[in-house]
Amino acid sequence: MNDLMKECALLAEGEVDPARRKFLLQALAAAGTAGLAPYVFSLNAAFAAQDDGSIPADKSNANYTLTAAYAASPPAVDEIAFTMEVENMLALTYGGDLMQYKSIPSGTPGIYVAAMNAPGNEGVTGRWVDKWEGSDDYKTWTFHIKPGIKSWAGNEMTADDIVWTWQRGFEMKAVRAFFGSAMFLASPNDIEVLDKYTLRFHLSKPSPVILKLMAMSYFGGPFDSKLAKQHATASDPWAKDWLKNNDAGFGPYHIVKNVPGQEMELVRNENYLPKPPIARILIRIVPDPATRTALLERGSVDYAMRLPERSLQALAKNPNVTIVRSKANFIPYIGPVETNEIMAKTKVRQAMAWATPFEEIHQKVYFGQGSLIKSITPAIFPNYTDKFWPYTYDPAKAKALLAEAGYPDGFDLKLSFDNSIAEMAETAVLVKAAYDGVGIRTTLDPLPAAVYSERKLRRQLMCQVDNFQWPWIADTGYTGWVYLGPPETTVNNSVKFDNPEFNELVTKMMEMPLGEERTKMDLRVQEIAATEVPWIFLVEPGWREAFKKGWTNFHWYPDNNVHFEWLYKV
Amino acid sequence: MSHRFLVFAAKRLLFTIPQLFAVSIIVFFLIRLLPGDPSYMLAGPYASPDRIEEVRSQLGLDQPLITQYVQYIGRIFQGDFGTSWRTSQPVLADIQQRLPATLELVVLAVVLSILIGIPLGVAVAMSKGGVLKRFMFVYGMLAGSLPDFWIGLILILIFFYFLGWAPPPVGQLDFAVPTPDRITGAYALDALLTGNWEVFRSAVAQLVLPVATLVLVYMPLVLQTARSTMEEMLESHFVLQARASGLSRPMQIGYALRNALPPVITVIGIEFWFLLGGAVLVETIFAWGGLGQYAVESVINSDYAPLQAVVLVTAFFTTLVFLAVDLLYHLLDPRISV
Repeated sequence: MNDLMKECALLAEGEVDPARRKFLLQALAAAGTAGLAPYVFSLNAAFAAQDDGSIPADKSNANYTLTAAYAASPPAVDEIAFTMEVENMLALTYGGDLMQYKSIPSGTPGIYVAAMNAPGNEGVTGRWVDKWEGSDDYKTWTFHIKPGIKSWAGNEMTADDIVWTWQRGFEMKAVRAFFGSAMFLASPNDIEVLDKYTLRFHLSKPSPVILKLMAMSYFGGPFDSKLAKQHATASDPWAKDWLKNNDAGFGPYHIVKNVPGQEMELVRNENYLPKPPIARILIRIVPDPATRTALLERGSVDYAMRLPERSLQALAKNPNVTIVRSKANFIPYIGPVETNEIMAKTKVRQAMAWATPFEEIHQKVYFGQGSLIKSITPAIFPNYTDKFWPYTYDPAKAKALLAEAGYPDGFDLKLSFDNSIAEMAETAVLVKAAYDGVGIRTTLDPLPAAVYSERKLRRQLMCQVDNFQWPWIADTGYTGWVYLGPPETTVNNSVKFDNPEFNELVTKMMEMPLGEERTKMDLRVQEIAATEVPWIFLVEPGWREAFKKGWTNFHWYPDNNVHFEWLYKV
Repeated sequence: MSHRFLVFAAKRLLFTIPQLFAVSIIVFFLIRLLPGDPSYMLAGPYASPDRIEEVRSQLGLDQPLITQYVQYIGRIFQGDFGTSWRTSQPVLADIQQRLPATLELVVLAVVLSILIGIPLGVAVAMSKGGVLKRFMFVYGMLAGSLPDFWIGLILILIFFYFLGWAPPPVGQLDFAVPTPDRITGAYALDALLTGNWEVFRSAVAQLVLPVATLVLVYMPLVLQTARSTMEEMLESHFVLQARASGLSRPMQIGYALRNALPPVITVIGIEFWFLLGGAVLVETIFAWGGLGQYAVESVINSDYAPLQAVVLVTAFFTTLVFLAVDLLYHLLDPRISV
């Protein structure tokens, strides 16, 4: 045993050849001996550190062309509009902000996932920076940009690019500005340039999750400010017009053709490292999911975007198609909007939760894929627990609670949803049947996307079925704050949940360093979300993508997009 | 061309101006009655109320409706139909890109419907019962009851998925086929004009299934109209007179056909008008990226500027089509006037 332990120690240090390492890991996993636990832990860490889904050297020169069928064109390649396609293009062309989540094996060969389960600022590593330091009070953060990072135009990334990017973000008053406020960056003037490659952020309050906030590609990434400024004008100093349809990023790809509603073509940024094996991406806009399914089934495209679970189930039977799945961070929910006096009653919301046919939705809408959600914080996040969520389908309890709430004969409910999302429409139908059964007389209210968005954000709906939530920052405090925090400042709190204790906890957690006290608060937030039921959680369907057989090295990132830069053929 | 015809054409043309003006008013105000404020979707989920107001202001939605309308008309006269928030492009550029795609599809479908529908209608009218008549009756009933998108999906299933004869339904050109130099914007025509045969082959191959779908569904309308009016004409007194006078059968048919054509032309005009905006589902399943698809996406996303422009453009083309129908009517029967 001692020899084995010594070998384990060497393994953890990476001094054993890979085949032997794999064998030993399997042997150790089988052994499961308590005495070996520390070694197994460090071995896992070492293995994870080494097996991060890097691109094999012989694949970087592969020069593949990938064909893809997308559901829609991005309205812009800038943070002026937000759809899944915008996020996707921003991730491909800008590549994300200064940091990134580490990649670890998912457990399924060929699929790697972001390390979301590490607390605080752990679990992230540099994307454009090779070194970073935080002060003890979490208020001053210094970043050192790796020299030699170049945009597709050949300009090198410097500290000035980062400052220009933040200045522009504040000017846009959109997503980057919002996340600037989340990390307590009051103004772009609080970013100090120390030298060409070094900058320092001075925050107004401590930020325990700043590195995770900087691991987002939601608002793109640094701009090549030299390139962008070439397209600025006196009336448009931030080149908003040009950047709507053009990219000035350091990311892996560059858009060379964009015919909205018809096609796009992206080519590799030849300066990007590691060099992506896919050199060219040809995208056709195919709005009909049945046509996208047929294209993939027939092998006419390598990738079909955003197929409903029903289509994925059919495609799974095709030996020439790979369905890629991993756990993700989606939070579909039923949201009673508390501007309505009936919905504002906790017992009514609890009754609705007991009347919700969770398992039926899981089986009929998601075909048993994914898992039931039982906390405000996704199951892949640190401190997740399902111990506070008692709800299952129990009509008797629902009726009893309705009576206690003063509605023994039920009430009329209008259930709204975006009718362009098939899974929400299917869920709403099942919910209506179950609610009708306990006396909640439900009327379905399918709405066009823009109407739904407007009414939801204006808190004008009575109750909504929604799936537009996937928190990027693996932290309960952040998730609670961004979606259900103080309603007067939290624009995303579309259900107008307003619980003073919850508000205080999530606000405090955004500026509180890690530790036992913060973990207790984390659990309390999960408990309040379960007892007060601002959202009735449904099913986390997981990340689901359909590819032609042969592609591998998929990397799940919390944006739930496909990151083509990692893919290669087996 | 007679003086009388020119006067008729001029009067008819003048009449289109108030028509389009009325359409612009109706469209503008009706669209504003639709629920949905695009500012919220455009600003995104993290936008502050300030930012949403800023977007509303950029879209001009904070102005009184009359002001918005006056500004809108003023911009139209300068060729500015606004900007689509879904494409971040001027609406005029979007329409210039999408209209030729739809016109190519619709014109081909209508021309083929005429070339197949009228001769078949005449043939059925002349046949005394028989298999052809019964077959056409059943086909006409089926085509009238089956939706075009369903026929399209079935054609995709058979000819692309099972047989592999048709190219993938990914729009106007297959993957990796470069777009031809722009002359008209219709890919097949541009490829033909520039002698780019590789692109021409791809463009024509891509057209086959969507055009076949439209012809299968909408040609029976032309056929049935041609058949019924032709039957009526063949039984009319002037054809009886012609037959009694010993005119040849082809001459009898010629006379009958000329008199049967006005209702057929009306139906063709209606079909053209309908398909300009009504081929949307066929455009969607074949990923055609045409005008109908653009209009529907605009409705769903409360994208006002393109929606207004599409309705105006469609109204303009409809007016042109009905102008052509009226002129043809006048040529066939000079007694008709405005």
